[in-house]
Amino acid sequence: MSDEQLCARIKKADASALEEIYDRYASLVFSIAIRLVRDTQLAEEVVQDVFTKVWITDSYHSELGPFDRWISVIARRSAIDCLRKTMRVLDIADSDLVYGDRTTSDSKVPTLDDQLKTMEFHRDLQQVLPKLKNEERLIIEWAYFEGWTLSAIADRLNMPLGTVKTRLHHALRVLRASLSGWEREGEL
Amino acid sequence: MKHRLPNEGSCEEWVGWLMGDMTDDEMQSFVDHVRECRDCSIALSTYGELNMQLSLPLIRVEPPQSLKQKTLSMALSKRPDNHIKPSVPSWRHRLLRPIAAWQTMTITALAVVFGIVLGSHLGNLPLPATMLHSPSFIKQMEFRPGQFEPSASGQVMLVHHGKAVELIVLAHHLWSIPANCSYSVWTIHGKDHHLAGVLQLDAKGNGVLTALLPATSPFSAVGISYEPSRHDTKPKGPTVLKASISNL
Repeated sequence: MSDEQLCARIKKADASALEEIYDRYASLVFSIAIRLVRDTQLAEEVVQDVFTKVWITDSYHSELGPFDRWISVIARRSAIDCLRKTMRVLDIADSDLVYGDRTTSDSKVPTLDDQLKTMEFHRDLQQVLPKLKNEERLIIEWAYFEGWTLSAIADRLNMPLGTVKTRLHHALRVLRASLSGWEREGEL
Repeated sequence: MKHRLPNEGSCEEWVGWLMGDMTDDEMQSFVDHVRECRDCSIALSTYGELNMQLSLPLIRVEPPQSLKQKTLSMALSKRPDNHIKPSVPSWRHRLLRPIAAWQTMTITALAVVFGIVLGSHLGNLPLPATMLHSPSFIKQMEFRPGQFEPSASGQVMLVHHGKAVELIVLAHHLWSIPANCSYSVWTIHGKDHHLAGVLQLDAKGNGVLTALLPATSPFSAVGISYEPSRHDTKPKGPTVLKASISNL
């Protein structure tokens, strides 16, 4: 059953559809969250928030792309909100070992294909990032790896928000043109 | 070299959407916008997958299984149309079904081995200086066994993510040990030992640990010791494996 079909069932209050969506995407959401909030407990709060939104709101629309991309954006947004609420400064000095429990037998492991795909992507990314202009590389790193908002990046770089968006757009364009082979078949 | 793709337009509203940089109202407005805006529609198709991959860490992290019940319960309790009877509880039963530990370990180990091979491959390449500061810079090293378990072997990998270092440890041919004992992993700086975590073992003597460490705390080696108490915060048992590898 497709994600879109499950979403249609969720709109009809079918809890088993929510469970199926959770099984498919909890790992994705948790991974995105923990990368940004760097705290297991906060990441769990993000997961709860995201799937509650999936259940109680009608915010997924196919015009926004496939469901996995949509929920990735929602996860990222929820994680940034979580950081704002906790006024958390991204300094992990006091939060080491946040991954300490992640290989316990109490948790499921993503498919090997998922892992390999992500690793392959990061390997290629390492080779492509240096091709970006320094400012664009910083925007990518701060936005994706440090969890900064575009407004915060604009302040830090002392440039208008629109310029940050344009630089990010250009950086994504370069990355997309340089990275190949990891995207799913049948896409642009 | 121009990278502009065909059909790309000038509207960049989609950037704020992809970055999650919108309020609830703005997000709802964006749905209406994207229905009308060809630029944004094309951009979401073009960059959506890349955006998702950039958002993911090197290794996919699984939430604790107990989170599923908490999350589903919270969501179900908040939906206003509770008069509709949810078709629940298959998950209540499935939660009780244990996951085979060997499956967990095998998949994790394969993923880690792939990462180590990858790290080895990258280690043979001349790395640009800028890469040293980019996320996901990888170092890897083979462990050397101590006299306590001379048949043990393993690899350690460090993945640099800006201010953080991800430590990935994989060990093989370990003895089975009592439940209250552990194979503890330490980062070592001079005479200082910092507990990074405890290996998770499978029935075949393979052990895995992943941990996120602050890059600001230097270390020059990673060691694994056999500890009579898994709660010890200082190494008391014999060294099983050790590798010289710096996080700097």
